[in-house]
Amino acid sequence: MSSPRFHPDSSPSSADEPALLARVAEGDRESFRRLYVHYHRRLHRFLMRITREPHVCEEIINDTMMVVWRHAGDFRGDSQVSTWIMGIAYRRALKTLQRNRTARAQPIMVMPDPAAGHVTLDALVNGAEMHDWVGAALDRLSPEHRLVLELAYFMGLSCEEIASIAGCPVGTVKTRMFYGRERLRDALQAVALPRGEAAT
Amino acid sequence: MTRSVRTRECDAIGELIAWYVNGTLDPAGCARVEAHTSACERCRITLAMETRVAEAMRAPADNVEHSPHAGWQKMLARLDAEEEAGVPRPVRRAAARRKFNWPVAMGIAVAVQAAAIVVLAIALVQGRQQAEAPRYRTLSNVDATLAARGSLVRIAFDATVDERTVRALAQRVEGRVLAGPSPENVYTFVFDDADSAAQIEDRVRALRREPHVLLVEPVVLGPADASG
Ligand SMILES: [Zn+2]
Repeated sequence: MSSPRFHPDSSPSSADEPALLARVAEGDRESFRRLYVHYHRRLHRFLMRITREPHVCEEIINDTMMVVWRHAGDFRGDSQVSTWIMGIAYRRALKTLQRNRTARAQPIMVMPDPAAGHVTLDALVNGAEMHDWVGAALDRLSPEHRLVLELAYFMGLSCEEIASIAGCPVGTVKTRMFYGRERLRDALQAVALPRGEAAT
Repeated sequence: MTRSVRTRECDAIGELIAWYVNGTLDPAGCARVEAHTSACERCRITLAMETRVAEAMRAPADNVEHSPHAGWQKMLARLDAEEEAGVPRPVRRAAARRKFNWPVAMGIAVAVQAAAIVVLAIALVQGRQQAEAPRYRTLSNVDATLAARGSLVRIAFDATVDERTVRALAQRVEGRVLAGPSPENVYTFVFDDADSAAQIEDRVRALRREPHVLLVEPVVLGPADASG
């Protein structure tokens, strides 16, 4: 089975980005505008998934880019510009999720039976509502688990890239992914097969 | 029931599957996943499931409008408002860093960091950093020599944070405020107790989880710093 890498917004000009950022650091608004327009799409895609609300999404994009504007001179170049910017957006997204979570804490209430789980998830795999279920299930994950799944499956980033963005060791990303997937499976059962059906 | 028994290899594959599905796993890992899933029904089902999850996540959301222009207009308004309010541009650090000569750049970055301390010990740094030094409102009674031996971390906070909160936070991560706030609300914390890199990393991670924290950057100070 081949599994082509999906990198929806990989930039053709990422080699120019450090120079662009350096001009931003000097207060060049035109360079900042170019960087802004270039990153808006990627940030919008990512943050819309987290916030689901256009105005909140736009607010976080601008907060993120404001940090870029103010701290472009701090960019140390030990990562890609895109990783640096995504790292700023990541921390914003994390905080948003943490806030939302305390606002409507919704623990997962399933007692997964591994055998039954497999059977029912088999059925799920071909369900037409998969898209909605996954969305609802993702909402039930912890912010850290949610974000590693978003960055891997939605943004198509590697383990190492996610580690740089999240500012944590690669091993942590692997662990979060492992448990995040497990929690997602539980959550999928909970949302797609509510009350009792999961055991049949 | 043909469901295969879970083995150690199943566990190992379980850690690789996500990266296989998103296409970022190395070729050896891919070969391992493919070999195992062709023989193990349990993991084949897991793989099918993960593939569907990833597809579902990537499926385009319904007509989410994407236009950077409205956002950019708001951003421009923010920049103008800042300019009018007289908020200074952040320090123009390190022209040399643009060339990405990292050993040199690191030296300069460190020298610029030292500018945070320079108010107390101007002799520490050469004249070329002095222009940047006044950007930092440095706290009094800080022993710069001691500070230079500890580990420094720079933290940018959003505008809502006051100094008391920052001090409390510094205490919580067993550090103290060495300098700050800069006009951009950047503080420098120092960890005096000569910690291991891992301990520093833990604290950096803890800081990054804090609300109102925008950026956390550890600063490495070495013996060559003062001479840049
Ligand atoms: Zn297996």
